[in-house]
Amino acid sequence: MSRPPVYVIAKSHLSAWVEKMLETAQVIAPRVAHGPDVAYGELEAPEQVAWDYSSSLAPLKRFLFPQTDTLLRWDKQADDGLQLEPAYDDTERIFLAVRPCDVAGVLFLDRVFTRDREDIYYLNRRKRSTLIALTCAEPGEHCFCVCAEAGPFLKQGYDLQLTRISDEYVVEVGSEKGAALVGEAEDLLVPAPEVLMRARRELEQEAKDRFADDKAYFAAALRQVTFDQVPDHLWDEMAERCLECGGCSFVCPTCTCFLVADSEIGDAGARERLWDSCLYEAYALEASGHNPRAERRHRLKARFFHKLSYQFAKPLEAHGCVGCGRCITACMGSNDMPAVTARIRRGAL
Amino acid sequence: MLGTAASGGHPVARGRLCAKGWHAHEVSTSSQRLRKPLIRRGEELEETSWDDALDVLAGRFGEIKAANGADAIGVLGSPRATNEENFLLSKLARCCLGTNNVDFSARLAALPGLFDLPEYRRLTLSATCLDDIERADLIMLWQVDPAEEHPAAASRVLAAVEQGVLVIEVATRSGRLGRLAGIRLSPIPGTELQLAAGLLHVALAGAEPARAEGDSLAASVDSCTPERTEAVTGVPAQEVVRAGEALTLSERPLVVYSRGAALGPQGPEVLTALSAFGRVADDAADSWSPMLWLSTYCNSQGARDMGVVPYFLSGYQPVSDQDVREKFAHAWGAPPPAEAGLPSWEMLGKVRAMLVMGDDPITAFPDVAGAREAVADLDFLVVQDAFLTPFAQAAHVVLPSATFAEKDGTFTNTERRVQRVRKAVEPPGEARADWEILCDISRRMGRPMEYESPAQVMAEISSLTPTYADLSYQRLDEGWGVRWSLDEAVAAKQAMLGETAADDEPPSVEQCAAPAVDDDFPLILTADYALESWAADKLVVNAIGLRRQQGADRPTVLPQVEISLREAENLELRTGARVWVRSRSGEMEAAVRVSEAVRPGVVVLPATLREAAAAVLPSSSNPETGVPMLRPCAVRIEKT
Repeated sequence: MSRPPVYVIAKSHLSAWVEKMLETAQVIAPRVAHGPDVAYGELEAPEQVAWDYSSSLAPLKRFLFPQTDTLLRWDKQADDGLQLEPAYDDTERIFLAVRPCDVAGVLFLDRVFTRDREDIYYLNRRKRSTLIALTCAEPGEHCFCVCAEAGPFLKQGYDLQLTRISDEYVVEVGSEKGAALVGEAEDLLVPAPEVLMRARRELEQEAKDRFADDKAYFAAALRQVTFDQVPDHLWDEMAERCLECGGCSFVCPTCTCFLVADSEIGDAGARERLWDSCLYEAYALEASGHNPRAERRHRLKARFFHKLSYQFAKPLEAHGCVGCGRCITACMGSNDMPAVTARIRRGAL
Repeated sequence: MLGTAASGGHPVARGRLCAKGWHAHEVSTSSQRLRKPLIRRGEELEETSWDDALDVLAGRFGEIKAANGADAIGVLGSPRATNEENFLLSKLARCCLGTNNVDFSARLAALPGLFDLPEYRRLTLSATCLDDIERADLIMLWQVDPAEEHPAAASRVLAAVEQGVLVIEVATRSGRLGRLAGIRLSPIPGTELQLAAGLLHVALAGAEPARAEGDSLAASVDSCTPERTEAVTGVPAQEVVRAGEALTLSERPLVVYSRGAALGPQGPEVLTALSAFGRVADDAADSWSPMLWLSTYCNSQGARDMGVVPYFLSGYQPVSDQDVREKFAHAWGAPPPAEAGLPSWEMLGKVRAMLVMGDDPITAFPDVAGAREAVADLDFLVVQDAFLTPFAQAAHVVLPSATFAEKDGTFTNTERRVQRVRKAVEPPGEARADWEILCDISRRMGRPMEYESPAQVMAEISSLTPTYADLSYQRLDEGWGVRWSLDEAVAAKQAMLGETAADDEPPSVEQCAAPAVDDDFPLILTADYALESWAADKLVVNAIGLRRQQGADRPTVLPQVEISLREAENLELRTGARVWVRSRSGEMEAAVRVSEAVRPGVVVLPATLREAAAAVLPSSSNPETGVPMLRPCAVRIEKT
């Protein structure tokens, strides 16, 4: 098998390339939201891309699996009686300058949404998506992707992967989709010389060294959670530090739980799925009124069992964490992934 | 609109949201939103045009004003509407309708409203900010459950606990953060003032003598020894000593409180005593303020700032002040009336017609049935709301309004931070922003208020309101809003009260508000304002995902009351058991929930269920302020 081709594009040519992308698809890229906030959002012009950003407030999840997603619509007073239409999103999207952890998050979602059955709503969007990763040379404040094997550079899964080397970007091709995108911009990209390839390899090594790998040692937590060896008092103490906001689930690139609800205005209505969180009291509530996870500690335990146990990691080929660090910011208490794995490892708060 | 994201840079959010925040968009996108104006025809509310609704509204208000005078009309604003909208509401009431009867019902629970009551001297307006929670070296949670009532504050308490800061919880029913508290004091309901006095007694005794000497405060708590405090409050003397000594040692104590303390039987007195805790601190920096009020709504503070108060124009400028009235007359084209108007709790039963913007007096006041009756007796009621609430169903005209996501404006949070809200989507159907509706009404009534945008309203607010003098949208947009300075408000307050404002009169601690118990009625029933308050919130009820998660979609057959483990054992009751709760005034059927958070001897009723409990727990009012409240009462529990 021949090595996939590698190209290079001058920083000064990026705008022209993005301009080309905007002609064919919706482009989602990091944009300044307000003050220091950067978030993935729809691009209107090439200069809006925040190329030097650290991380996005939210992962890509909301573009492929929106917080509110219409599944079908009905109209009871249509000409031919009841009209029922599925709601598919057919938008072509290019996700540009996505951090590797967020690409890894999408790859995880791919496996979740194809494991038992194919989720057509997700896959419809996914097959119309192109992922252009942007590697990380410097870790952000909360990053621990190294511990989760989800960065700072990707080995696979991307369509294209960009790495900045001073005034140029090395462009690695990871798929036919990626190759096609490069093909459409032949005038802007040239094959990368060996010297740049070497610089990229060196940068990857330096970056990995810079990303401290002691933020989240998973090993002990994986074993103890898998074999139910975490002492109950730890879950109790963590439960006291949970305000049930659901934020950890909503910002997590790998969380996929949802509830389904119908809403109707007059004779027309829609069935929607809405993000759900396993920390909410009614999450596991049964129709009988029985709640198998009535207490917060049970819900916390279930959450981390799902994230860390081998039972889930085996079919999904990875643990439910990409090391993006967003739960560290979002948690109103201190039940983020590094804190929880550390408590389990130490056996104390 | 598909979802919500937390801002990372925002100094209050800091990348976090509570469950209400994560589901906020569901309120705007709800299928239950009002889309057209409604008008009463006989028993039914029917859809109508804006023209028709406004014609009827202007005609009826005109008739009622002509026949009964302007003060026959009452106007309620909203702690969930923007500053601009509340300001225009005040202007509409005072200039167009001609009455100072303008208030919002949650102001009752928004006490440091002490500050709003002219007969009350002390200034307890919160000078602190949320981040002070993480700067404090002692946090006292006074009858508040921040996890339930203000998760952004609770998040900071959790961070402080991680840093080893001592938390003292004072609550009859321990809150969600109670288990992290180093000291938990559980007074008999109605003895909170005596507990505060007992803590002050210990704390002052340990402070520098020079500080305590000749101090009227120290004299007032002289008799409140730990032993006497134990006898009255039921809190063990050694716990009083521990907590009082911790206060003495603290340099930056912070008392966190909310409507639970303010609405208690001796709310004003308790808050005055608590504000003295800051004076105990030996080396407390002058800039340290010991009281943090947690507001219930996004704009509880702003509605008051904007003069939706019967005695004040915006910025706490008294309507009684001739110069102030002239200033406003010059800007508004008509002077506000000089006489103070009626507070919301007195409007019901006294006025003939009401204009209500997003407020709901029925769910706000202790006496639910009384409020409902008074509302039903009104000759004319207009309600502006995004939803057809049970209260709006009683209206003669209902005007559909926009939510936060569908308009521009500002809100002022609990730390007085004035911040922008921006229009993201159009309102549904024919719904309009409240500020536009108010302009329509004034135009229809012949005193046009013309504004092109909320920014223009803010320019007028700035020009008339010293506390908001420099707040343009441009300035607010540069950062994350601006906290307004207290100095101007203090000056206004002192100008109104004259010299006496400086006198700090300690409250009398002799009378406690605990009911007498005996063999027939051995337990005390008390209302808890935090408990299950989410499920009764009209926004939670109408948010499709959140309502499910908060249990707001699960109808309860019987009102639930909480009892302690001791009562559960004595009475052989388990969670779910049906009981009679009997007091000297009446009885109610209820289901019990056994909770280790409840003090033995106490039965806790979620205040949201107070209507079902009205026979047992009648509402009364604070003798000093007239503010309605629920006084704890003696009860017994019997199995059905």
